[in-house]
Amino acid sequence: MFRVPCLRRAFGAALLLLTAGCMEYGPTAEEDFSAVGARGLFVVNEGNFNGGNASLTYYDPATCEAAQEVFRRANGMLLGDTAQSMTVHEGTGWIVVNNSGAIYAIDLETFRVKGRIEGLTSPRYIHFLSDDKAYVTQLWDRRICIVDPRTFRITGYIDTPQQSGKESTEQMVRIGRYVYTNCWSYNNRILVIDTETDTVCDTIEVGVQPTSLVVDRHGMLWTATDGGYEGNPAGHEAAAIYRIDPERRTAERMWEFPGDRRCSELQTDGTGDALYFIMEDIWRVPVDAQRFPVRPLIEAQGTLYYGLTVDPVTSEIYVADAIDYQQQGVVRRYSADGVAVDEFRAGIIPGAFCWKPL
Amino acid sequence: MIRTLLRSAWAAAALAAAALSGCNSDEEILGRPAPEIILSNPSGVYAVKTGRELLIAPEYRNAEEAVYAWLLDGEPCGDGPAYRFVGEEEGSRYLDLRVTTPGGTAAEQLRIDVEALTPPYITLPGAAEGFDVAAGTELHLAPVVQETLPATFAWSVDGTEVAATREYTFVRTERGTYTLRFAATNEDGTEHVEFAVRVCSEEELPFGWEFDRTEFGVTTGRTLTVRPVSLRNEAGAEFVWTLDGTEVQRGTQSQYVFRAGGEPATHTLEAAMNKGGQSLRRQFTITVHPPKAGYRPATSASRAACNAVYAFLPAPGQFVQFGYSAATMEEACAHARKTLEDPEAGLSLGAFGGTLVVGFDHSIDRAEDYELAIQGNPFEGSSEPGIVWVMQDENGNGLPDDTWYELKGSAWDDPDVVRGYAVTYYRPSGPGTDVVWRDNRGGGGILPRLEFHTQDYFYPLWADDGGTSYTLRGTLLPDRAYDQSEGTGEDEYWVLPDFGWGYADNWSAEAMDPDHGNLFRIADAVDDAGNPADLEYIDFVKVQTAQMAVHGRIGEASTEVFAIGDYTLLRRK
Repeated sequence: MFRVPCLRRAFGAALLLLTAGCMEYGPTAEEDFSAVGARGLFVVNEGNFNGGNASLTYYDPATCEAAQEVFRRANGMLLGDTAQSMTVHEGTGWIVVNNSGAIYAIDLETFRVKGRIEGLTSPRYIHFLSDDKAYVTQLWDRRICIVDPRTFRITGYIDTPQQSGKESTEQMVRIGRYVYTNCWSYNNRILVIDTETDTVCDTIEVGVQPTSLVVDRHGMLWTATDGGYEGNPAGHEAAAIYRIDPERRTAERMWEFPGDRRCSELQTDGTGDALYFIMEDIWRVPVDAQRFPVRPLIEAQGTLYYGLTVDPVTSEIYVADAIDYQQQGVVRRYSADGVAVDEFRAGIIPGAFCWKPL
Repeated sequence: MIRTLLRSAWAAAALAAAALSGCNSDEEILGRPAPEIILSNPSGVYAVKTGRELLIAPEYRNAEEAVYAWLLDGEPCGDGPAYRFVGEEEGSRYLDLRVTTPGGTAAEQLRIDVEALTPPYITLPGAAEGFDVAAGTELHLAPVVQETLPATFAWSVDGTEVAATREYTFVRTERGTYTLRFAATNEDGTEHVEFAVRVCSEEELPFGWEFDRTEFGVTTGRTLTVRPVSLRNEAGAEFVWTLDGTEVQRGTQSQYVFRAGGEPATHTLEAAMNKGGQSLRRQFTITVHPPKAGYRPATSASRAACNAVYAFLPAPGQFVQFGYSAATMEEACAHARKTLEDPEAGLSLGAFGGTLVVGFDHSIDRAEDYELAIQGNPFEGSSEPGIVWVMQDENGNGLPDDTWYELKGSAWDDPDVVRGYAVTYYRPSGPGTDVVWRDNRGGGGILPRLEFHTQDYFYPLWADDGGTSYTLRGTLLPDRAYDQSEGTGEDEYWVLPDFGWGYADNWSAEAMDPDHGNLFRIADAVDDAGNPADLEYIDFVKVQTAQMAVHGRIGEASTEVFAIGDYTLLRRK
């Protein structure tokens, strides 16, 4: 799970020329897609940092068919550099392309671009409050952007109490009036945003580098911290899972993982009964568990798990394997019990998923 | 009987419930409380090192008349209240414990992580060959010891312990051969290295030279330089060169430049290294070939891409044996061939000197423009340059055993460029450890293992033919990288500046094709002295990592190669 900018030079990272060797430049023909009347899964392929080779894969769970590079093929242009996440809102998919500083809005059936939000520093996630208001978190900008999805314009900013170099805000969860966001890069906090005033009204301290944020069926927040690394300005400690009481705004360290293990990609199933995350293997732990399981749900086998999602309807598990960060990754699909069901190729560094509803 | 059956059913139900919940059952059955298991380690995860014994002895409550069942990876392994385990192989084992009483059943799943022993690992460059030192002269010995647990040390000379320190300075005034032993011990074991130190007079200090070949080929009209790849204690030595029985050179010059005449012929060259009344002699064969002896013109069926890999010998690096393994050079070359066939896969050559040698199904002709393309993975601010060498198949045998010519790059005249640079890498004595290196200029260091790579060794295990080290040679470019974040308190952000033109895996504004990578001209080939080689064609290409540098968390500078092609043909397609 290395999404740290300085690691861009990792062999797998990179590579403008590599990209040039396998992808087309400039305008290309537009293809017609029609993903009508079916649930689907988008795989957001990060691509190599500075490589400009982010892409979008579309998978139909019913037919087990995967289509590659659907964004480029539908629109005749490349998605951009380092795609981070995708969110669906009211029939539109919003793809956040971090190092391009842009968010594309696409039609969920044709994959055609409907609009584009520009002027962002380094967007990570978009969270919708209404049809005309959404928040966009950023990695290298302490401001959270407020955007109007109807006009694709930035309408304001939320200033956050972040120090220089530790500005990042990441995933967002809304509970009632408040939006919570985890501050991952070189940070250790969850920010609480009052959506009525668009201000940060509180902070909750957790462990070093909370990577992800979910809410369970009890309305409790959970975050997984990766613990940083030796020399990390924010510190280095054991990775952990925290449970956060959003009303009392307190965090409790539930499980701690000594050694150089890293937790990331925290997810819940459709009911919010269990947590799933990557810690080399894929782990599942019921939110009410008294003891952490001793056995992973899906064991890593020479894999480099990088992305994770749980089907909100079937609880099937999809795991993205980035392999070596340079070749096309693989997505593996498992039953809710962890039995292999299918696998398909994705793009370079598949890192995020997004479900397309019926 | 009815009561027994009823009890069994209850017990089975409790067992199922416990199994489902994966934790203690707290049901109270038939008026008796269910048993409880209290683990000494509440997490249920135990660790033990290979070969060691682990006793798991939980406490129990309400365990009167209890029946115990232990299952290791699903197989019954015990029926007592405690379980004794010996880990033979690394990995995780899963242990199920079920306790059944008339009051019910409790169950727990436990994991036992069997971990490798981590004795200290020792690398002492030069130990395999032993050391020679003049009487009364200090020999400072500083082994590199990699330990994860506290260690103690012991030095002995001819069986007598002389020091308990990590480093030791040996000095003797009496001539002779001494056996030294260095041992490092921690709770997981002891490792040691034993070697000879020969103490002699100044005059007796051995001298020597090493050549990488004894047979040379050269085309008529060209020059060939014969030189040792390394010299030892050469100060004051005299070198005498004799060609076909006639002395042609005498003096301190350890190299000889042979000028091939106009006719094919075979010559015998003899060299002597004289010092202190002793002489070392070597004999070489030089074959002068007619021009174009191995020339193979391109045809309409010729492939643009290289079609053969003759050597894949990376230096140690974080992407060496990353997703592949090889035990021999043949296996390594097979991996390299397969990788180069895949347009999206590449080869990492590791640190300085890492080498890839390829050939083509035709000779690549010199043209007016660029004739060779090598694709790497540079981008602006991220270049890891590789020196490119070319060779003609002068003897026509289809093998890259003739003379390499370096392709001159933009840094050719840079005073910091070192030609004839050599680095020896030492095989780590254990997995997961750094690689120790020494160069031929008195320098050295370690190539650190990076935490986010999981392969056991960064050191290519096929490189040394079962030995303890191997040496890579070539041209060294200076390290110009810098950490842009230095002094800012922010995370490392390395900038690896480009080197203009003439290098593989180098971001180049002027000699680069977006589809095919860095571009090269055969006309830039030069001989040892830097004179134009004036090659009309080439048959083989060698790429060599040109820097010896480690850049913080991103690790060693390493040239990467994704494709090598005849650019003339690539452009036609």
